[in-house]
Amino acid sequence: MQPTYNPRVSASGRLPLSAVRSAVVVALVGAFLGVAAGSLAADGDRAREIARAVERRQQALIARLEASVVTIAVRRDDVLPDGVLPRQRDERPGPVLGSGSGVIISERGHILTNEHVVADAKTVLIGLADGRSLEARVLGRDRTGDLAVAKLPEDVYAAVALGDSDALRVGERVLAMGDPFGLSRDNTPAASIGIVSGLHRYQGGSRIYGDAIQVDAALNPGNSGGPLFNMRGELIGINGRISIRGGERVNVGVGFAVSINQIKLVLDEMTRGRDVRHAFLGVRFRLENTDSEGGVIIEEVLPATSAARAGLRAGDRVLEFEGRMIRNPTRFQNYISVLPAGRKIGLVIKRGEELIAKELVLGPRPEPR
Amino acid sequence: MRTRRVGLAFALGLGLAGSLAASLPRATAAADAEPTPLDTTLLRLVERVGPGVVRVEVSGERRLDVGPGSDEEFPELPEFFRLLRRLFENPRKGRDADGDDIESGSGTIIDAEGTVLTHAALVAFHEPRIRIHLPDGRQRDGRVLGRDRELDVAMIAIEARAADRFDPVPFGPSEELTPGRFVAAFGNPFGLGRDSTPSVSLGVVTAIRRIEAHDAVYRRRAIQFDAAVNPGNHGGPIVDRRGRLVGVIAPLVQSPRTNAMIGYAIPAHVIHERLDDLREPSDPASLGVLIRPDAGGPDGVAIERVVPDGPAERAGLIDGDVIVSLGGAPLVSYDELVAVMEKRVAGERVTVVIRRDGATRAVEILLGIRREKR
Repeated sequence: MQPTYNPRVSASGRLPLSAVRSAVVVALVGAFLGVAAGSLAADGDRAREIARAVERRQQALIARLEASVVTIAVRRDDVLPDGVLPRQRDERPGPVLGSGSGVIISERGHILTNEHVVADAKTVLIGLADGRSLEARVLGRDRTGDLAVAKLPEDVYAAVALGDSDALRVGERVLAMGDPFGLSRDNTPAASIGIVSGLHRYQGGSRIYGDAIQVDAALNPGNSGGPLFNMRGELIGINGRISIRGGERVNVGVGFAVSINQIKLVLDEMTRGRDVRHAFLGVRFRLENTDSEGGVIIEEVLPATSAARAGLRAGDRVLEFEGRMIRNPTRFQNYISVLPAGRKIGLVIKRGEELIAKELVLGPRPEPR
Repeated sequence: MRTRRVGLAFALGLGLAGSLAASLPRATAAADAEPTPLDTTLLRLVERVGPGVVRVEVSGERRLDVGPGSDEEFPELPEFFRLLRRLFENPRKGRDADGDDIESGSGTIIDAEGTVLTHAALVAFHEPRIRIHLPDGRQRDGRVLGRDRELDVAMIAIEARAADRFDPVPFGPSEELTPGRFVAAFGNPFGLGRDSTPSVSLGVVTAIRRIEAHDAVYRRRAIQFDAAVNPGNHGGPIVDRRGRLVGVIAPLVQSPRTNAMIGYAIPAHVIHERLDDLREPSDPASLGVLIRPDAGGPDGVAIERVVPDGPAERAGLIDGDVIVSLGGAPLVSYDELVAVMEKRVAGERVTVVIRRDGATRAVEILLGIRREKR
């Protein structure tokens, strides 16, 4: 079921945008003054100066990025799996049934968003921050990874730079932009600021957030598909999922973004108009290691999979993936689950006392249903 | 340092060439490159505290005998179960393969020996089996050293191996906290850190006050804050901007329909005063009476039966006496009596006011040891 539209929220129309912005700024400056006031008690002017610098940088960043953040309206509606941020339902009369957010990543008008925002739509209605409404064609989808690329009509658009999500650190401040609750009537996005709460989170389901960035910035229905930026304004992820409590799909301070480095693995293919299949190794392993040797122990090799063809066996201990030590089973899941089918990977396994290097080409993950 | 921005985007080979120069005002981009003192503070804080935050997994049989007179079997067992379940309600629990109750929460390492401070509700089990998951992937068994029934905190010892080193989080001056002070909450909300790396969220102290909500009553003042905390965070730390422990996160007490960003923590300085007591095991207390779960009323809680030779009988109580108050706390329901008794330990003396034949009188009862039974 779609969440009901909160009339009290929608009634506030245009106002929340500026309200949200000032709230963010005030909250952060408040927090910061706490920092500054203690460590720089002897120098109140210096503290204020730093706080003002932080605030100005935030304002400049939001102002600069606004033109690249879009709203996405879709003319159909469908049921969404648990945990995925639903598209915000719009109860105004008319053909538009759901909406989400997106971000422009090329001057020619390529838009990155969530697959669950566009669903099966061939075209979507894009709302630009300058007020224009344009139709965009959906080029390609990564259903498992919850990603999609749409293309605006030929023109020159304000695009964002792609960052490096592997360089992110827990505690780093991040900026989320988008259209929570479909509040924006003039297409201008809302901003929320938080920190990176965790990295390499694996969130399963019919859509897999296999190596997600966890943030405490407010994410709500309608934020789906919107950008997550680092404080230099580089795109580091696409917001698309939240943990929920008590059945209500609203922010509890635990949101997830697909990392930009995962997106880079499939972006080219989606941009070329192809749908992406994810890779499938074909092994079962325990999610917890009880010994301290590291790696993951294969419990079962599924027949007729890449793993079976490469001669992996139950009892093998996988120690390395692409030259990287596998610190724990979750990390191995992170590595494999984000890869597109057809990727060639190198594994180092330990069988008895023997170390064996394996190269294998990963086949496609079986599609659900 | 990270001037790879442009290079990265071009390296994608997506035909996006030229997209960046136009969209990034150069001057702003250059000014953005340096982290602000705020960012530096946050990163340093996470580096310092993160290694000292553990996931605490507890399994076993949930303690069913916290009642004031559970030396004998209750006839109304299902009701009894229900009440106790509610008393320790926490969504971050389930059952393991053996059908045992299992609960996952958080804790903080407070010394080099690997002593873990957590919330008492997390270890409210009959002979709990405790597994401590350290952020670097190590897993160790733990055992409960002691609980403070008034503060609702518990201390766990990690069964360390010879080569084990721990990264304790130092205690901070939580008595100096005032609304507006910056705090970070650590722990494992929703059991997310399956690889045991804790989550971090940022906020400020919103109030310092006494809290009475649902089943949780903190007679001393607690820290209220707005950093995101969710089921599984309980037992974990909130720290100040210098990465010092200022509170132990309590289970959520807010209504599930609100998204209030309201968390509560037990102030660290109060816990610090009692660290020595916490290291000593304390026995749960028994009053030595049997009480029906529906025995409460505006006048007090009626005793169904006094256990022969128990603490209550030795103090002169008889079947049918109505308990009006215990230790100064007026009682009108069975739940309240359970909650009050849970904060007492064996060997303590409490003043109990009872009503018998219309007359009230106060008696002093020396609390006995409650037998933990299956």
